[in-house]
Amino acid sequence: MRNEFWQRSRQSLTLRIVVFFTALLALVLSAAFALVSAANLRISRDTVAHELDTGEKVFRRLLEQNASKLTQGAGVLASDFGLREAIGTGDTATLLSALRNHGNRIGAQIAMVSGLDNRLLADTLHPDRSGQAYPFAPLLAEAGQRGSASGIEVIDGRLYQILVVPVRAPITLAWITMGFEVDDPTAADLQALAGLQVSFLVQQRPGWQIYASTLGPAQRAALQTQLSALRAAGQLTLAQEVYATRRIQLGHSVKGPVYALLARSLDEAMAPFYALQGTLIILAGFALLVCLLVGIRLARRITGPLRALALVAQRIRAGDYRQDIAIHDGSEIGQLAGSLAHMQQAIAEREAEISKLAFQDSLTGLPNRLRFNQRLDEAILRAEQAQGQLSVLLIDLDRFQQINDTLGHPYGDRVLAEVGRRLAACARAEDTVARLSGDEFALLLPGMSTSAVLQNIGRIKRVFDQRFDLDGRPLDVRASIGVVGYPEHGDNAIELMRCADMAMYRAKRSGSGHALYDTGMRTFREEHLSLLGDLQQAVDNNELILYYQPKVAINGAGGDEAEALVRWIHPRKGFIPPGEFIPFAEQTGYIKELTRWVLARAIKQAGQWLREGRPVKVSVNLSTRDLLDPGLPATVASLIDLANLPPDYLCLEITESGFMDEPAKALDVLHKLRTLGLSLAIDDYGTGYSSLAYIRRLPITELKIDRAFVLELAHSQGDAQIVRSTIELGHRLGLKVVAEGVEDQPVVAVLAEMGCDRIQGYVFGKPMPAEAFDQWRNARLQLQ
Amino acid sequence: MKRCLYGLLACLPLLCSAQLSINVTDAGGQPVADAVIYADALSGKPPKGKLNATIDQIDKEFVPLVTVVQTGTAIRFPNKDNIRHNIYSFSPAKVFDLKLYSGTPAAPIVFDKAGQVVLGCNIHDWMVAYLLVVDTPWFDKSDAKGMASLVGLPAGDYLLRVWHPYQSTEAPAQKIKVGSGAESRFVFRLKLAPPSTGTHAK
Ligand SMILES: [Cu+2]
Repeated sequence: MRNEFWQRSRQSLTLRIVVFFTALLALVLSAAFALVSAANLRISRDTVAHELDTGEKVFRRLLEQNASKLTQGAGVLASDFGLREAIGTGDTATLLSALRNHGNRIGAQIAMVSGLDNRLLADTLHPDRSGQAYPFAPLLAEAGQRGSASGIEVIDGRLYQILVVPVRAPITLAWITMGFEVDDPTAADLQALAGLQVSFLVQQRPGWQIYASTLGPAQRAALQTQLSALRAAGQLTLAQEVYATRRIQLGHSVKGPVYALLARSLDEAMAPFYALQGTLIILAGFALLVCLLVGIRLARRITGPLRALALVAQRIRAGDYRQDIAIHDGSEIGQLAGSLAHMQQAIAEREAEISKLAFQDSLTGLPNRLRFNQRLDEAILRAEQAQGQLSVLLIDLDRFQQINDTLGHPYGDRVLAEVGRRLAACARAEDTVARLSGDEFALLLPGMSTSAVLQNIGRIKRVFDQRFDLDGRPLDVRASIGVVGYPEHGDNAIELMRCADMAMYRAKRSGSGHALYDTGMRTFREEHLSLLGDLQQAVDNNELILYYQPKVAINGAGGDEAEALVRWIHPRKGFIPPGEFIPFAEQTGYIKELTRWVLARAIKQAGQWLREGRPVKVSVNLSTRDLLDPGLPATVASLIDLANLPPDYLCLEITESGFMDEPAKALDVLHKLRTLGLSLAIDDYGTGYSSLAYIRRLPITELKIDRAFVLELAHSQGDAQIVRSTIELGHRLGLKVVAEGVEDQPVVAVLAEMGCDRIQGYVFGKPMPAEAFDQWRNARLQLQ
Repeated sequence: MKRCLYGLLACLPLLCSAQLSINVTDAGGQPVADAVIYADALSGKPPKGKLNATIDQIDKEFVPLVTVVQTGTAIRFPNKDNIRHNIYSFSPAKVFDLKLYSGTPAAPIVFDKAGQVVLGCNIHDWMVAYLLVVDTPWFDKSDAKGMASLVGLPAGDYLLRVWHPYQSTEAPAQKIKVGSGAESRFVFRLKLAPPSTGTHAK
């Protein structure tokens, strides 16, 4: 969830803009910060170095001034008459007391007097050393030359600034040495003036020694460990604090060189710089924050309208074309909004156009199937809610193909338009008249029960009673009407239309003009629906078997001709009579595959019999749909070619009704089949309406008289008359006549007498498998 | 004093049988003034000479800077300034402390012990005077040309000595013979070290 959000955010324009500008500012600020920091750091270091320089100068000057001041003090002391007198008179005791007294006066801790012979006359620190050699001879030599001298010395483990001045009476009589201890307070005084940490060090044996310092104990201890590495100028880290240091040599004591270490705390010196840095960081942070906020605001001002437009576009996609796109500014976004508004309008108009085209039949101006189905759905929904009812009439023009074929398509179209107009004229306002396809119309009658429809069916039928008079060419148009009703025949459009289709089909077959759907149709249908999958499997699994029923010639032995009949041995249901699955296959269109399979099998079998020297002319039944398949002749041609079967050995049987729907198309196929040299037979002759005159026009070679006439032949005079005249007429037309369903010998005799050419029926043999047929034939041949 | 000596020399030409002329130079050969030349007789007790002398204080300076007297000489220290001086000496030959007031003549001080005495003023540190007390009446001070002369020395053997307040080392004494035909010209060469700190401002 988070991830997704982040991914979406990452792509968002707002974020990109804000991130870009903030990053840019951060970059600039960082660069500025780095520059300022570097400069500040340099300045700070320079400042520290400068402070050390200045501090060193001040420190040296202070030392000089101090020495000078002390020298003057000592000089004044040295000229004290009493002191001179004591020296002059060699009164050591007085001298010592005078030295102490005068030393105290100027704050000297040590006072010594030495004679011109460099021997101590008195020493306040060590009174017992009178007469011993003066310990700091070099200083005396310097004082002898320059009148006075100063130095720094370690005496008894303490560091002293030593001054030597002459005692004159009035010429130099002796030398007074004064020592001022250099201790922590001294260092502190110097620190106060020089502004630096001050330490006094002596590089003595065995190691460096700190004699005085302003540093704290911890830092002093740290310093002690680093003394040997000390340089003239450098850095020291003392107890986590960093110092820049200067080392100055002050003199050379008897113990070793004496140094002052000046130290400036870098941390302290850098403190203002760090404060500045802190301020800078705060400023930068503030600037970034402001940039971020302003950036977000700015970006939203850009992306807000974009997002609104994106939303508008989404709604347009969803089909909402009535949005007010209210961004009226002159910017690109405003232009985009304007374009979007125009686009929305254009799409709305075009969609209206398209939906008009999609839902309207252009020929009749009536709603098309799509629209009709919608209306039907809506009507069902309303009826369902209102506990109401509705009826649907499916109206199919009879033999419209004939009109098209004989009078041309433009004429046919005009007929359709006229039918549409008439149907619309007799419909109520709430009804829907639609052209579903070709010559198929539908009438949706909301709120009307099927019984009411049947009572008023005459009104619809009268639409066709009136003659169509187009271009002075009178034309009778008839229609078959299937009637279904909600809720009794189905609760959805698909179911209702299927039922209507079946009812219409029933009406067409029965020729009654209209038929109400009855549930019997449905059960029949459903039962067979379940067979569809089975049938397909049956072909694949060789569950289908061809049986052969002999067509025995009058006075012939038989076995030279047979009708191939498909049988289905279902693995579960066992034997399924063809009457149950052939019509079903016809309805579903599966008959085409079935016929092909039968043709292939039968032709193969015929070819085999021919090769075995006992040729059998095999008849195969074609369905109506087969006759409408323009590819059938080519298929048959290739099959017989494949089986190397001369066309004389194949007869195709068609039913009369096979011609009814689209006779032109069927006739075309028939001609082609005949051209192949095949025999063609009319099956079930006598059940349909076709007159022999019509039959004459067909390229057929054989008539098969329906079993209905044959069964009662021996007993019914009427039937006998029909059969006799049919045989006579058939012969007159040059057709072979075959009687089917012959069950007993008397009928055979009658038929023989009537001149029937061949007889097919139980009297000679049932349909049987190919092997059984072979046996039957052998038996027949032996019988003769 | 010089005039006095000249007078002496003028009126005692017959009594004095010998006159010694001494030239004093420094190490560089330059004439040295204020060098004291004196001759100690190697035999016999020297006669008493003039036994009084004066060292003035004029304009906050001792005048003269260098004085030589015979043992037992009483020296007066007249103060010619109108301010106070306090003359002292811690020199072993004579220790004294003399407060002097302008125009107030003090009792002369007798220097009865041979040796050098450095005189100072306790009020004015720069004031210094050098006094050499010798046991002989035959002495002189070199002039600006470094020349000094001793007169009236009876014939005999003497130790001719030189002293200068700034001398860094004592120049060796010269043993001389005084008499007719004897050498009467002598040269002393001194090593001087003027006091570096002795330059007192007034
Ligand atoms: Cu004075």
